[in-house]
Amino acid sequence: MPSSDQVQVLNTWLSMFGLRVVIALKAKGVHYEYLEQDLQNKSQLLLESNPIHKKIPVLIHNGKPVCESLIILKYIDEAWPSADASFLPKDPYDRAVTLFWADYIDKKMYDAGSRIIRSPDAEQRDQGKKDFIEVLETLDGALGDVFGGGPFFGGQSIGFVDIALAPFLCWFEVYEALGEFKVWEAAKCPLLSKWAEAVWEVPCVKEALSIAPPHKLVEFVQAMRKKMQAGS
Amino acid sequence: MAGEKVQLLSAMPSPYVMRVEVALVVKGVDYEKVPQDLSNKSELLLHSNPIYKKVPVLLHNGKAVCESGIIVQYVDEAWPSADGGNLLPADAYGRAMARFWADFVDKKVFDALFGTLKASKGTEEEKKAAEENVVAVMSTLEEALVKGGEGPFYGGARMGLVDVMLVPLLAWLPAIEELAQLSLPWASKLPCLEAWFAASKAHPATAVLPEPPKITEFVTNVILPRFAN
Repeated sequence: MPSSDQVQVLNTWLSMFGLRVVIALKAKGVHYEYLEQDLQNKSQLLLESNPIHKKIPVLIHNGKPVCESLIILKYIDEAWPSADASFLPKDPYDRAVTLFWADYIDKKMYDAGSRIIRSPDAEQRDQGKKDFIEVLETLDGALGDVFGGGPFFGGQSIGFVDIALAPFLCWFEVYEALGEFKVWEAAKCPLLSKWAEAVWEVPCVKEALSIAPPHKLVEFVQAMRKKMQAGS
Repeated sequence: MAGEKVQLLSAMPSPYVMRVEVALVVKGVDYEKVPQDLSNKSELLLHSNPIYKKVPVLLHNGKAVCESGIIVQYVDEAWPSADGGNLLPADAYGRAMARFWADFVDKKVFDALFGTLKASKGTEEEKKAAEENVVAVMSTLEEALVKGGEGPFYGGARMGLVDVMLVPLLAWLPAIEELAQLSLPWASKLPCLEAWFAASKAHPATAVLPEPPKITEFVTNVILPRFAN
């Protein structure tokens, strides 16, 4: 790709979906401009780039916007193809399986985690915890049965599912603080817990996740909750 | 291809199954439909889709692919067409746009339509809100079709990914319009979408779709009773 490529990322540090895009660009060695967005006061650029959903993340490549994090990941993989840093396998069936599990994470992980954070009562929060643990255990099973045991879902190097899942790790401390539990004690995930340690050490992942340090997320969420409780 | 076994675990009148079936026909793939009883799920279904236990499932030489959007793109890649007949364009940005609109159809369109069925048993305000939601979603689809340029399909002169994802509307929309008493502003606000309907109906691949009266029957007997108070 020519060095005159202009790449911008519209994101907020609070979004695990946006961090996926940052990991992907770093993995491909693409230079980009990171533009932190204020979702309470949406910029012209955001509203013009994503008029349908008005959400982040948005990738803008030479002025053309791409929206929806998993769609952006596929776009990055295709727009900057590289033999040794492909996010998706070559075989169509293996690709379909990989996409299934990334979609599973989208459908189940965020929702369960959100319920731990936002539930107004203990019963709903406990259900959120239960569901969250079930998601982790299911992913642990998939890592073993479907993806060859690791160290990564992508095999020896990170791939599509690793990129889709890794940013959630920043939020585990938030879930633990609000749910009053320890993730890796509550969930039986021998493979996934190892994965969590290994993936965080991958340079592009470590750099991307440094945008959302866990302790800062905990502080932020606790401050938000205090504000909401004071307001009611 | 000789020796290939393609089975589609199906159930009437799932719009998600319909997408996959039309994709298979558009791509010229020979397949066997294996209807499922969702009130008494088969070993085959539970084994092929242990996570969601739902249809559609595509079994290609015994290997299972699940989730309709993923299956449709799998069909496109596993049976590549030589003459520009693929559901997705070749360029990365064109593919991203097609996937975006396919995702919009998946997340917004059918939910909006089913919302009107639910609201048909509710208050006048609920009915109005549900109809406004459908009009808003349809207007967005109309805009996308206009912006896309060459029609009548989202894929241009030929059906593409977005068309295949949307095509179950041919079976479902007339039924929903009737049962929820929707009046959509076709002529005044949705002319391209109206043309899309006509072109899709005339496309040979959509012959596999059930006739709207069958959907009306199913909605009346199975879905609406669930919403009755």
